[in-house]
Amino acid sequence: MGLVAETPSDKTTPASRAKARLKGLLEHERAEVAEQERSFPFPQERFSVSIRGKSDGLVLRIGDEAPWAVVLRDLTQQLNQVNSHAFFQGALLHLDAGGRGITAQEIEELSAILTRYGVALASIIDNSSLVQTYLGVRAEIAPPHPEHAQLESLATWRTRNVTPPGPSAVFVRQPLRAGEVFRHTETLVILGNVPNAAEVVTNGDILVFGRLRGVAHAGASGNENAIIGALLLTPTQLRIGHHIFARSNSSAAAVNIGEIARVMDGRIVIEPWLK
Amino acid sequence: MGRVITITSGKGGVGKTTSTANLGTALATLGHRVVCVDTDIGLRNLDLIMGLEDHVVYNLVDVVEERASISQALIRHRALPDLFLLPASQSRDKSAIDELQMMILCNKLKNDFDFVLIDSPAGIEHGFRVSLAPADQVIIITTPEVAALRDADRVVGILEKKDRFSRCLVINRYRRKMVQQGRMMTPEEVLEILSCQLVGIIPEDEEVINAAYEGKLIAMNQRSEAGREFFKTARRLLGEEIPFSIRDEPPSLLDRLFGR
Repeated sequence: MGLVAETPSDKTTPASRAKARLKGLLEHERAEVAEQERSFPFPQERFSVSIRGKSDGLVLRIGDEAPWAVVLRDLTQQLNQVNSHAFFQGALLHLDAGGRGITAQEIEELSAILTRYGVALASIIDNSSLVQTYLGVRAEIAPPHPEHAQLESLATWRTRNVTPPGPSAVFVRQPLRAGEVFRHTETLVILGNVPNAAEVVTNGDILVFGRLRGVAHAGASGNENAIIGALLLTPTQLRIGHHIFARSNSSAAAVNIGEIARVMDGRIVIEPWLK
Repeated sequence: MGRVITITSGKGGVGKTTSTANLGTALATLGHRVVCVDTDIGLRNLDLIMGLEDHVVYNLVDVVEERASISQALIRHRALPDLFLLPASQSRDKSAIDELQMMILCNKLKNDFDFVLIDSPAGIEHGFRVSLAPADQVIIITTPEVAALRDADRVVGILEKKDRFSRCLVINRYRRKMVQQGRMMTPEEVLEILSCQLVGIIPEDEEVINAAYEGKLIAMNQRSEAGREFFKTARRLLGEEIPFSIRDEPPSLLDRLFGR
């Protein structure tokens, strides 16, 4: 009954025309997919390494699923592609290991190759977001038990080798984002909020000048004397050493301003900062 | 022994998560023990749609990596004691879990639940394959739009090679008025493109957005048309024969008078 063209005698509608268009296209595409699979029965080779330039150095990205031998082969190939070694000389390189869980052994192998091209490993990003500063540490330190090195994850390797000589603290000046995991070995002072689904893990204490809603793990290497403090302590989960504490309702409103969690008599207890 | 149903679509944003939450709600209301598993690691949302985001302590990756037991990670719905959520990790990515781990996990869940509903991530890559690995049945969600239909067809093509699945289709965001005017494909036209068994037609319903705003489940609101259709879909999954009334309703008198 519309004023325009679509009278009952007109058999095609916008919908039926779309169906016809799609049907033809999809038949064609299905044939194409089948043909592709006939000629290449194996999945295409996954991306293994890529090197990109960034303002503060180079970023080396390693694919999550590529076998380690392929990563090393492709890396050497890429470095060789730039004929003059001087191109990389003195460059700082950030390693983005994605989510593959790179081991200490692998880092050693990688930096051995990089050293040959005059490249210094500046930092490592693992598990998509976990940042571990590597600068200035690698040169003096080798894993204490090389025969076990490949079994150790980077995190434990760092923990065992980079314990500072005395107490010190690191300031984290930007707020954490949801989904971010921040790992460190020293006491952390976070100036900002730790949102839900963010995670802070360190061997020292954690002090949050803001609201702690996510997961915080202090004394991660087993130190039960570590503490966790926050202006608003409404965590999803707290861990100190091997102890775990989950506040039953993290959105609970009635909490004190300034609270501190510590281990007492084998369990985590939360108290007001000022008694 | 329970049944594992993977809800997938190829394209993002067509209603996988909403459908998982609400089919779970309907099945649990009908007296079955249901767990909804979010496999969209890194971009989890099922917790939010189910209104359980404040209760997430452990997640799927914690269970797989044995930092938590299954029962520690499961979250029971406040209003529906037979409905559970196993949330995804937000801080990892899809590579954190593989097909074998997912199959082992679901085999355990099948002992305790009548239905294991898996909310698949968008795409046809690793995360999709992981969500598919344990499936006894697959529900493909599509909307009557060309992009959604094309992506759904690609998924059907992949599933056709694995004949152990029973393959079902839900048409989401269906607009009756547009269909009557010939401006949206009819369910028959959709089925001509995608050869699947139709188990549900969910109408476009503004209430769906508002329910999600409040963390409420639309299937618990029987005044919502989408909520009622999720129930009918759940009953069809249970083997009941329920006619698709939604497309037979004639245009209202007002519609006809104004030529809408």
